[in-house]
Amino acid sequence: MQIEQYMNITKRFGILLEWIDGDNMENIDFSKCIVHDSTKESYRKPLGAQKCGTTIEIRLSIKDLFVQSVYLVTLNKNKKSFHEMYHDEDTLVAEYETPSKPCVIWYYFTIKLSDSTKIFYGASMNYTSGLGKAYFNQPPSFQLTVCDSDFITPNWFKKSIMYQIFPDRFKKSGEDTLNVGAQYHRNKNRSVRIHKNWEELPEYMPAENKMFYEPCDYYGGNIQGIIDSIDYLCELGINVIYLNPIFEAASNHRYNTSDYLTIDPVLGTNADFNRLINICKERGIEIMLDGVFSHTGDDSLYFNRYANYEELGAYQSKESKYYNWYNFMDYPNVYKSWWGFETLPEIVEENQDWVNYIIEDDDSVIKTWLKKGVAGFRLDVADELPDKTIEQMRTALKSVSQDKVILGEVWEDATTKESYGITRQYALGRGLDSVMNYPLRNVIIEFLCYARSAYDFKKFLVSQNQNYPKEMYYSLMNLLSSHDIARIRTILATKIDPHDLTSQQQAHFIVTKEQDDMGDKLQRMAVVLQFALPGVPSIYYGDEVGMNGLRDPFNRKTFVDKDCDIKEFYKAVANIRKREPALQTGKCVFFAQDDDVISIMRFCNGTKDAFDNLTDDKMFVIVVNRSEHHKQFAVDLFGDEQIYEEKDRQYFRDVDFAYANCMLTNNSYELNFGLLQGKIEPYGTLIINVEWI
Amino acid sequence: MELSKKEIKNEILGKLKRHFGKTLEEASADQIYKSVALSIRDLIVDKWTDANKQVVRQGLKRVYYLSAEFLMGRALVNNMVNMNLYDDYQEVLAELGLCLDTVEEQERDAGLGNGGLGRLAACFLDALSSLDFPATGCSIRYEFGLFRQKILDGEQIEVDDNWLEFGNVWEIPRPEEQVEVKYGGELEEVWTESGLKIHHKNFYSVLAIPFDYPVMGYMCKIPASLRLWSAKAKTGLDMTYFNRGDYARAMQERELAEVISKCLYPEDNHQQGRLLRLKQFYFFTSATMQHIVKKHKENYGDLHTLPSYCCVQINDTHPTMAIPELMRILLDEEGMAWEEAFDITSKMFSYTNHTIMVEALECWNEEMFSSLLPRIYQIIKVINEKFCDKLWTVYNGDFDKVSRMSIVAYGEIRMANLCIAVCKKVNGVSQLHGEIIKARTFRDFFVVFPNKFLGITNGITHRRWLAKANQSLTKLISNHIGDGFLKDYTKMDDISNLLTNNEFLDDFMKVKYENKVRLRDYLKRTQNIDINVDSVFDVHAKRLHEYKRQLLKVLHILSMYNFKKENPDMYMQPCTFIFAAKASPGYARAKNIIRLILAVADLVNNDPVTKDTFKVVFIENYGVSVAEILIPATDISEQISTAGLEASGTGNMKFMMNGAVTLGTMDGANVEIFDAVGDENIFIFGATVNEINKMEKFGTYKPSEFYEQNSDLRAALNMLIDGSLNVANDRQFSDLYHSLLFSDMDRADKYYLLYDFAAYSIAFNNAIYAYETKDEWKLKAATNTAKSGIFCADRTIHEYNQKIWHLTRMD
Repeated sequence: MQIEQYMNITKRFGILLEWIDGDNMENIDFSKCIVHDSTKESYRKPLGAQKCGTTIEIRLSIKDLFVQSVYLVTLNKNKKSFHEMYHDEDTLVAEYETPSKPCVIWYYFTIKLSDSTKIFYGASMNYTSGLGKAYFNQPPSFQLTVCDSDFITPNWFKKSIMYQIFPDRFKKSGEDTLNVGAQYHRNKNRSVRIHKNWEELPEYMPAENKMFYEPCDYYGGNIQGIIDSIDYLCELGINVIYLNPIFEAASNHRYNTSDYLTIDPVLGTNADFNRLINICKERGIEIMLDGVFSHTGDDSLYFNRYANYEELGAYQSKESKYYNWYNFMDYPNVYKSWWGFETLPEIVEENQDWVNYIIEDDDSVIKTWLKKGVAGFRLDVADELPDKTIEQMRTALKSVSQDKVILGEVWEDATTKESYGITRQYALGRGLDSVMNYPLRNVIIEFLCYARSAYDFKKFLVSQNQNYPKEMYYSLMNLLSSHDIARIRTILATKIDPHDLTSQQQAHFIVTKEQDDMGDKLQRMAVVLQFALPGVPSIYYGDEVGMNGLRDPFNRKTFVDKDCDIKEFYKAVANIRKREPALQTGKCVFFAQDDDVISIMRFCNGTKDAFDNLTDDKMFVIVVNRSEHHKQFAVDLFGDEQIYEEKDRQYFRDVDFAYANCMLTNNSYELNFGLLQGKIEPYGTLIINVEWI
Repeated sequence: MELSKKEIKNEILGKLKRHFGKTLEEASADQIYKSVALSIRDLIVDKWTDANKQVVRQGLKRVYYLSAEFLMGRALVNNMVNMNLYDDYQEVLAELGLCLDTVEEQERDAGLGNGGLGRLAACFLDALSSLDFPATGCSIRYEFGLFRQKILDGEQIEVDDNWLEFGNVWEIPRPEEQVEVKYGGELEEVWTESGLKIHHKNFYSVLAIPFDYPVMGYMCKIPASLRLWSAKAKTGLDMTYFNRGDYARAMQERELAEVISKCLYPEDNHQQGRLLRLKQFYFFTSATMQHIVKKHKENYGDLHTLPSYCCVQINDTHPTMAIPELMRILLDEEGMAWEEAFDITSKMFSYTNHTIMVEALECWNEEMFSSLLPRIYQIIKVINEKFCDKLWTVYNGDFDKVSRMSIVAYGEIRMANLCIAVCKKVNGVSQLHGEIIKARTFRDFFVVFPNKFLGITNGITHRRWLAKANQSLTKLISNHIGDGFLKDYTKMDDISNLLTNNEFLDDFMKVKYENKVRLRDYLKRTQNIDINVDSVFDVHAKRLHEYKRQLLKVLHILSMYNFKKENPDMYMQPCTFIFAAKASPGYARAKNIIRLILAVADLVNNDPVTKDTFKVVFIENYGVSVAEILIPATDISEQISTAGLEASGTGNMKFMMNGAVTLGTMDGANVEIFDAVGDENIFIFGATVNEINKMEKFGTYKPSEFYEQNSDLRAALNMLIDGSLNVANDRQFSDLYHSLLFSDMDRADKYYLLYDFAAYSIAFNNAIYAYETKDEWKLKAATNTAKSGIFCADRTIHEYNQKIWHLTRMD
């Protein structure tokens, strides 16, 4: 079989095709004759995730190849459909209408060549968006996310900056609360060990006379401590606090809830909490709570294994009104529990009593706290909650106010997450507003630690932008550290995988001065990226003063405020973000340049942001150079970049750019014919404000 | 280099005797010139030979400056100046009853260049040598330089420039270093034990014979070399044919071979790739790269260290084939693997761009190229393939962009793209040009390789353009600040301290006057033209091209003529408008503009109302030697190209260094002259790059509106077609008229003459008012000289060295 049969041998790139044996077709690479880039309008319009019932133009460009017919193949769950593509000028096009129910559509192309040989075109390996490749077999598919047409997330949240507090470790005000609280728990026969010294290391080994390590050492951080820190938080520019669990529980992390309606006495009283809410409101700060609903503690009002509560618990009697909340295999001692931890009996979320108590009653747990002024919940282990439960929660929460937020703990891409064999629906508009964006954090680390090039980093950013529904994309909780992972600074400073270390090793792990200095440089880059991207940047308490720490409990050390450059840097960056709508809800485009320099363009033009809200026109180009070398950077504001819509490009072609100034350094940059360029220092970060007339 | 006057005299007379068997009385002018030249050449060659040995001994890196053109001009007096022997020679010759100027005129200009590009290469060699950097310029020993221009019957006539006719005393042939350059033939792939080998069969080859010229820098430790390659057939005569009596056939091969170094192509910015030109470029680049490799192996052995000992600067794309040629040598002759060879190659080369318009970038027809240079073609294709693979991932399958950026596409081979793909650095020749190539010409490349691109502003050697061309001014300056500035250009800044010294300023103008007298005498002697030394000398001297806008100047002269005719009694400052420009023989419109200048001269110079006020002069055969007389005499330097089109310009620097005040647009290095002298000491007018860009983008420029609204302009334009000008064919200038007002093939008035006309008139008047205020003018003129230090080629070479070459100076 001669290659000439397929090809109008092209002169387009001089040499285009490679084949080893002229006769073996498998050696022909068709990837440069066929193109579909799911992130360019010329191939898929409109771009990105779409609402139900939208018509999308999907195009395939075929150059110098004789074809009989071309089909767009779509997969919805397991249902395959074929759509014949027809010629339109130099491309092939199919119009595809998204289904009426939210889902994720997968698609690829089949191409029948002039001699009836069939080849395929699908996504590049390991990607679900961007430029594809030609294949001889069933290819990987492109993703098309289809979300509920009414999906909307609160606008205020998209514009927010979050601060996460692990309450026992943030700030202690006075000794009394701790003493009262400790006594309360001791009265219930619970372990309470109190650190005398605020700055000592948390316990990480079994305590004396104990078989296992238990997280029952307390420092006594409390609600009043947070109230006392309001000025500090305001200065940092934050406007939403996410509190790790604060309800009564028998541990310092309180993920084993004892009583959903009572603040843990070690932290203070319900009244103290109300005061916090009110004071925060005055200062423009919202509070979000950790909702731990997939399980309770065994030592809880509901399970009441140790009879610490007066009310009859599920463990005590089948008569208990909470009995149906749990799944007993062999009453009372064998029951379903979270990952087999007996202390954490699992909830049967289908149970209507539980649904009423937690979600639906007018005085349900969720509604009670929301009505007190809480802005929303972060759902612990969202993957353990059925989609239906999350949908019920959304309905209840939004019934209190459309401005309340429901955010899930999900560790992977939420649009394609499967748990227990089911493709999760929570990202498609009927469940969560937002999820914790762990994948972003991982990729930022990979980029800064040379495990991923700027080009690959860009591919990731583009794919998140395209695969998440826009409402959720702009609400993603973009974190760098949390109570469940090692602190960003330590990872960047030491490039260590903390999973390789035992608790003892972690406890004695020392970050050298040299490593910490490197960590400081890299952390700044991570922070600029975090604040430059769409989504809600979240600062885990203490990151802003350069705290180090590996995994739990070393990432939960006590907070000590100190004056340091990194804190000033956080303030500067956060305040720019807080001031500038373009950085909050502006559109974005990503640019990679060689392996080391990534740029993010954020803009509002035509007095509109990405959601068509009225906004001042403004543009920022954020540039980050991870390398130890000085670099020249160049960003083509007219360039045909992925996810850059034609109307925006045209808009900028027609304006007169006036100047470009970095907000951090105040340096100005060349801007000729829409080409922004200049020098960037080793480990440099720039936030360039581009003005036009 | 001590040589007493007595020794000089003996040397000259000795040379006459030994070389020509003549005494001074019997000798011809040519023989006297040669004897004088040989006397100084011996000194240079001694030094040169020793220094080149030192370079190897000290293991110094050498830059090879590859350029299809070197516009050297005359060497004799320049060498005297640079060796500080000028006064001695002048005195000795006077004692012998000879005049140095007359002796000098016997030397033929080495006119191996068209204009700025070739002159830049020549200035660089002078500066490299003056700064004691090891350097070799490489090019072709064209038997005929750029045509000599004669003006006959109101138009340009081209006459061949047989500059080697009477021999050349400066060159040293090195037949022992000849190499073979192969053309044509077929390739055969052979699998051997050591892998795939390419056999080149049925080629024909030409010998390249090097001729070396020492280029003496100012008081330098190491003269630079200019190596010019001359083509020669492998066999003088084909005896088979000769014995059969077929003499024509017997000579054929020789002629075919030797035509390669026969003549320099005149550039016209839109040249078709011609086969002979391609042969020329491959000829000298192949010879040079073979030489470099051979020398390196002799001196250092291991080719992997080649990039530590030499680097290659490619002056415009003409020598680009040096890149695949080095690959070929490393792969086929040295048996390296591709990656290994490419690693070495990619560390060696850098490229200087001189072009702004994408359509003017050099391209070759793929078929022609592959049949002439099959192996080079194959190597370029592989480089292209690897390059496109990278672009494909960066630009995510953007077909059009990748094919625009590829080296081989649509049957063309694009040399600039090859340079960008392989070279370490790509530079523009002024700051503005650097920005334009980044933002426009090579934008798509710049976005991918931003660290590759930079702008380095051109420079001129102040030894030739001040010390040699303007000896009176040099003396004046030296009397005040010493002559250290000739070695250390930064000392030129000291002239600024003299700007408050009125005596100095008056002397400065006296020097200017002397130079104007010198030009007047020159014109009288050569073209029998009389000019008034008390008038303003307003000079537009450079290649003739539409974008340089000689035509704008002419239209303005016509409008001044009209004004004078309407106001015959009004006093107007007498002006001598001087043009000097060669037009490419194939560039019809350019030649027509010369006709127009001559016709306007005829009109203005002979009209009784205007002839005492205005004089229009066209100086024949503009070249280095003419420039040396013209530039020091100039009052106003016309640098009026359309903004964004002149890459740098170097004429503008030569004029300002000699105390002419620039009247110009914000283009090329004018921008930096403006920055250097400040806005009181330059007259800037016209649309800026941004304004023009905007008009282009939105298509808003309508020249006819300017024609309708500006009556002076309209009257001047109408004179092109209404019979006012005395020409044989009354439709002679309708093409020019047409091109400004009507669009057919091209947009009307592509170069914005009409747009800038009014602004030019105002700027010109301002310049004239300033000239009339003598105290004001002398300060402006002297300030220009005082601020010209940064335009010395030494500054340019330092920048190239710091940013690209990284050479060390010889101690």
